[in-house]
Amino acid sequence: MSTRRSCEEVRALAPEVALGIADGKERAEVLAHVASCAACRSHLAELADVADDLLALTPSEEPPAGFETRVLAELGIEPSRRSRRLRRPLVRPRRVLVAAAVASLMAVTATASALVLTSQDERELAGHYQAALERVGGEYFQAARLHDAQDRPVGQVFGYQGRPSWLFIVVYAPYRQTPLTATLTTTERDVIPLQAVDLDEQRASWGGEIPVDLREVELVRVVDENGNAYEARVPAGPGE
Amino acid sequence: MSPVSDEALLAGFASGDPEAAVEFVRRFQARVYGLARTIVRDRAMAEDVAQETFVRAWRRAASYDARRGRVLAWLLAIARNRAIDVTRLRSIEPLDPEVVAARLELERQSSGDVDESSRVDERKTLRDALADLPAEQRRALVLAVYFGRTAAEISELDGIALGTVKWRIRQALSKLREEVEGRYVD
Repeated sequence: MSTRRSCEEVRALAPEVALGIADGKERAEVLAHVASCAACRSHLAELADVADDLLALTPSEEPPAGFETRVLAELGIEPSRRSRRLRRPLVRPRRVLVAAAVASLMAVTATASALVLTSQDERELAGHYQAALERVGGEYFQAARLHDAQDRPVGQVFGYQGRPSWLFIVVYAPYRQTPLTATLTTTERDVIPLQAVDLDEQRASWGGEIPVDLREVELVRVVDENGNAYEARVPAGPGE
Repeated sequence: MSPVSDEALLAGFASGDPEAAVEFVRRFQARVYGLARTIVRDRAMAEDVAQETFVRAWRRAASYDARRGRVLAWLLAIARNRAIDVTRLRSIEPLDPEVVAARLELERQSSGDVDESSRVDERKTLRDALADLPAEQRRALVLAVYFGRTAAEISELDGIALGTVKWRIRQALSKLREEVEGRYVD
């Protein structure tokens, strides 16, 4: 249950909320208060503006040559074709790319030698990953960030495509609450509730079997009792 | 001809216009990469952060609140959160807050700001106010703003009472707000 905070208490908590470092409970209480208090809402907005402006004080620095081209390629944009529409991003973060590369390797073992993994470390990682999956007849692992509406990191989601498929959800300390409600959204837009996910200071994670293949899962959504929603978009598996 | 506004460029970027996308990345890449470098330091990691920032901005462009009219702030918040995520995943220790403050001073001396003059003036006011804060307040604020450290984490890091950290953060941000607001009241 949320406690109703006074204006004085909210003013004391507002700086941490504005800076994005308040814990989930306090943040929810402050936001609940400002929803019906114009003065505190204005105060919080002013502090948030200052917090935003502080980020803009950092020195500009040109990224390495080719940065713009790489970003556009990641977005699937070909600058020379003026009428071309953007496609969904083809490339995922580099760490996931490595995972996708080794997962692809596992899925097409017959042609593994055709794939180029650039370093000995990556080849060893691929071999290790492949052997682990083969031992249990699995297909691939996946990972995604859990974030809030402002893209703040809230936790991580790990998935396994196998028989059965499973998910493991890690939530960072300030956001752990009881109860948390978790759902999966499939590529067919079906929403599947998971069993209650109760996390607290002693329990940071939840894991379990899911009733569909991981490859069918597009989104993992976690909502606390105050309505704060956190989402992780699960990248497609190899070959999908 | 006046340049396209940040908001119009973002709208074009979000709607899938290739020219807008190119211009959007060009306009903001140095700001985004600069912030990422300040937080994660390593060039390759900073480039990853900056690259992901633009991808996330594209995916989330629909959630941008045009009423606030601050595309740069929105973009930098995405970059900051992603960079902090990387530092936590890789256990990267925060840069010394006084070194960060010194980097901000460098920016003041060689300002490459191309923004509207009122925004540049506001940043100068803010930099000056940050420099004038008591060192312990500036330290707590820098750890919170640029490295996402909570009051409890700063308390543990510096071995000081949690209440003291919260008070320092509150005082620091309130003073900065007063300075920035005061500039327009005076």
